[in-house]
Amino acid sequence: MSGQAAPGKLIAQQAEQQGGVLAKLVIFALALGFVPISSYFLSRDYLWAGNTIYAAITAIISANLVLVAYIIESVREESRLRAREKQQQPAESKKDR
Amino acid sequence: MGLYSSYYSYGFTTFLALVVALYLLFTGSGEAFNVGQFLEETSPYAWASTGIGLCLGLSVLGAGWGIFITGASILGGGVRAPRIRTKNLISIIFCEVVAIYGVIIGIVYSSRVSAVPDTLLYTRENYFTGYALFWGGLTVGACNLLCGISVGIAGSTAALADAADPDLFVKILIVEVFGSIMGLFGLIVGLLMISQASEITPAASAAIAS
Repeated sequence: MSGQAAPGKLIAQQAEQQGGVLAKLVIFALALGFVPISSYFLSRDYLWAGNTIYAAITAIISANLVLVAYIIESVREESRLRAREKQQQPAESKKDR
Repeated sequence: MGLYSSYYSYGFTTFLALVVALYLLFTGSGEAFNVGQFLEETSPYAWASTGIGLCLGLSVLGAGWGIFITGASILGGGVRAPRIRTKNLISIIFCEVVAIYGVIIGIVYSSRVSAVPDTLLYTRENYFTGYALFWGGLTVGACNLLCGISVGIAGSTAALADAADPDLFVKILIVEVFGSIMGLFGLIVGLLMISQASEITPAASAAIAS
């Protein structure tokens, strides 16, 4: 079992430097629940004067905005991780020499 | 036994239903099969509540199904390739958005249901509201169910493809976006159906509209 996981663990040690993946997911999952429903009620009472259809459309747009924000944040973190790996690799090859 | 078990189960149920129907027919109660009476006597509240329940229930069923399919693949692929763990949570969030659609429609529909005394309930508008809520809820629920399953299976394959070759993930994300749009279609039709339906209101006069 550990034989299969060993190469993964080596890479994971570097990746865990960032941490906070779980916290980010929990925050976005809560935001995905909280933002659309609150925007539905607030926009229905203060923006659209009681019209529930427009309020539902506002809620759907806000849910999709949270989704797009999560995708952008995830892609940014991925590129940050890859940039850090590229920085570390030339340093190690110098050590080998 | 395995070859004929479906014959036994479906055949027995059909036989029972046939016996009950023929008994009613031959003993003079054939008029019990009255579709019009069923539609007129069923309370609009029953239709509306069933629609709202189906909307939310089927949406959450689709979202949960998609999440467990994708989650299993991410966990399995993450043993050898831990770098896929962060990016593939996007698929999980896509599935959860489907459940949020169901919740929003459930909230919008339940605002149309208000308390009306029984004698003033059966008006033409209230019948329409009941039917619209039932079929609109079923539409949204079924669309979200299939959307969640499709995003889940696409997301699970995306995780495994990403573990093998990191360049594939962005291309498979396009497939997931298309799958997620299907849930949006169901949502739009559900909102269109409810736009014509008024809130359940008591009849204006003592004479009930027939």
